[in-house]
Amino acid sequence: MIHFSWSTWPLAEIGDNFPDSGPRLNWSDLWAYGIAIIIGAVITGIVIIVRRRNDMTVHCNNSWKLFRELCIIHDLDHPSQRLLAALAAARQFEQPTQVFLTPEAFDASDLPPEWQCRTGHLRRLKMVLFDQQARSST
Amino acid sequence: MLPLQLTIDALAKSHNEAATPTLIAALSTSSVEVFDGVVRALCARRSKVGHTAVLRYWDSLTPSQKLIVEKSRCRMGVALREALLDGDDRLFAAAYEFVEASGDYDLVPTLVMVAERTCGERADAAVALTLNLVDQLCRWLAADREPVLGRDPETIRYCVLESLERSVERYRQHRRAELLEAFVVLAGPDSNTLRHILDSPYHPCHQSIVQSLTASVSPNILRLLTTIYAYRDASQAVRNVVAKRTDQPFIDALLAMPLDSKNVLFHKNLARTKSLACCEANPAMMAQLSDDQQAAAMRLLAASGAGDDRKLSLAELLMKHGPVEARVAACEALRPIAGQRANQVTLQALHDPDGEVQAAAVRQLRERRIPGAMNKLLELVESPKEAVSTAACEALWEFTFENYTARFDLLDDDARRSMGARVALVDRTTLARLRAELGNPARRLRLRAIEMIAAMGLLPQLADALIERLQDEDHLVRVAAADALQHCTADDVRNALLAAIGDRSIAVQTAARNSLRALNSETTPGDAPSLIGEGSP
Repeated sequence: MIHFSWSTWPLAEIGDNFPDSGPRLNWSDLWAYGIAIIIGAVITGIVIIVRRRNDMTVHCNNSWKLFRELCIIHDLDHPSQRLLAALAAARQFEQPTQVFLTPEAFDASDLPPEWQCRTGHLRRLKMVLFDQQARSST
Repeated sequence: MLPLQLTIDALAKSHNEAATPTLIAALSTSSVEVFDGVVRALCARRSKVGHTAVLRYWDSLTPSQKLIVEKSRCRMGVALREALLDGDDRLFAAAYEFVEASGDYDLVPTLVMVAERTCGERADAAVALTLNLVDQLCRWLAADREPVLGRDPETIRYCVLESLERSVERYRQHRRAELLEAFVVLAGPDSNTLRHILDSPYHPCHQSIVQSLTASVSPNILRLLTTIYAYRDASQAVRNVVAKRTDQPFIDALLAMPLDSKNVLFHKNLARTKSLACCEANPAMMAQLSDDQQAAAMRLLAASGAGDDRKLSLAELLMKHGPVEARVAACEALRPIAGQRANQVTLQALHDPDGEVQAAAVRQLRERRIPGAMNKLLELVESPKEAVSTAACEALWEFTFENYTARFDLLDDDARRSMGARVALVDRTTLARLRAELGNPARRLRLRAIEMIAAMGLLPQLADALIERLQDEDHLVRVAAADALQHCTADDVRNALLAAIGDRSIAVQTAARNSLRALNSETTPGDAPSLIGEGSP
């Protein structure tokens, strides 16, 4: 009959009550497994977060996710996305996505001087996002 | 697809709630295309905030944009409900206009709730809109037409009626008679609730509903009132309303109801109505009615439980001043009324310039037992007016050829002549029947036919048939025919009698000679003896 002592259990070594034929394990042997599990969990978490971040079918209320969704729809590259985000910030829009619906925001004349060098890029973006409107307004 | 369209579609379909504030912010754009798209996207999203924002811009929307919004009404119910119940004035006005334009019946319960509130203008507006929607629904139901909503009007009616019934139950609190009227209109004549209210004088809604039925000139109310009265077992309240109303729209509706003799309920309701104010003998009121309406008024009053004096007064009035239809109706209305006054009106009708009126009077002349009626009828049989003549013949129904034939053998000569003359006058089939009798295979009947012709004084008219009988196989018939022909003066008769002198039967020859002699004595004495002499064997 196996005798189990509760008072000694936390400090007992794994394998104490097994026959002597097998290899004995110490607490220190578990560190490797623990670290592997943690790394796995972190990777899984990151994957889940990334997938959720890019899954546009999930219900949420995230203006930057919507911004990305619209950027994806319009096939905008990273510089363009950054420029649009900066433009939304410069225009002090409550929602960054407002730039997609505000053709007049692309007019750099009322923007600070540092924006003047990006006028061409802005004009191209306006053409990409508004097409007919941009042509008719110009 | 255009890039802007891509953006709009993405925002409309996005699962990200951030799309709504983005679109709301974009409503202030100066670009028409963007605004159009934003409105469409907001309407497409299931967001109360977004819909409310669109409603706030309702005044500035173009008709095409309003159409876009109206098409999305199935998603906008919550926002509209909130705008009607708790919105500010602008929002309420927008929601009101929206419901008015789109005819969204799902919002009727909300409108009823607003109407039940006692806060002035909004409640009045909600009442007016509810009534409008109910009117529109009634028109759809009456026309049996599929409404633009694409839903069965009966289903809509069921839903709207349910909310109005709840409102009726709360009548003590809100005291909105207009909502009762909407309920009455929509409930229709078969509603148990309405029937219960009308049958219960102490029901909180009874007075108001009776007042609506009494005063409303709404076509729906009038239709309901007349339908209940004409096709249902009308309650005392309805009968009282019908008895009292004298306004033109009601008169038009009531007098348009056909008074079919098979419609037992209509006659029952009329019989239980002791007066009909709209059918009283009022010259001014009658002058406003059309010819057909005057006639209908007379017929309704005649079928009602009103006293004979009232009926006679109207009949007298119409006989003096009414059109032909009304005079005919007046005359017919007199039929069940006995007494000297009715008799006088009937006799007066006999002198009416119109034949139809005279005919109507003639039909009841005998029933009234007026002295000299029989002679008058016999006179009228020969009236140049076909209707009068026919009516007189119908009135003298016992003077038929069948009756005369059946009794002929029992009558003495005087009776045969007097009755025969009347039958010949009244029964227009007499000549044809006598001709048929003359051709009867039975000798006895042929002989009797010749006797009847003589008794009726129809010899000249049937001379040709008698001439044919001169060729009869039976000599007795030939003798009778030859004998009878002495009263016919036509040339062919004379020739036929001359030919009959050569008959193989002596009796026939004798009869022919006698007849010729009688004829000659009446016409040109001189020719005949020579002819008789030439023809004799």
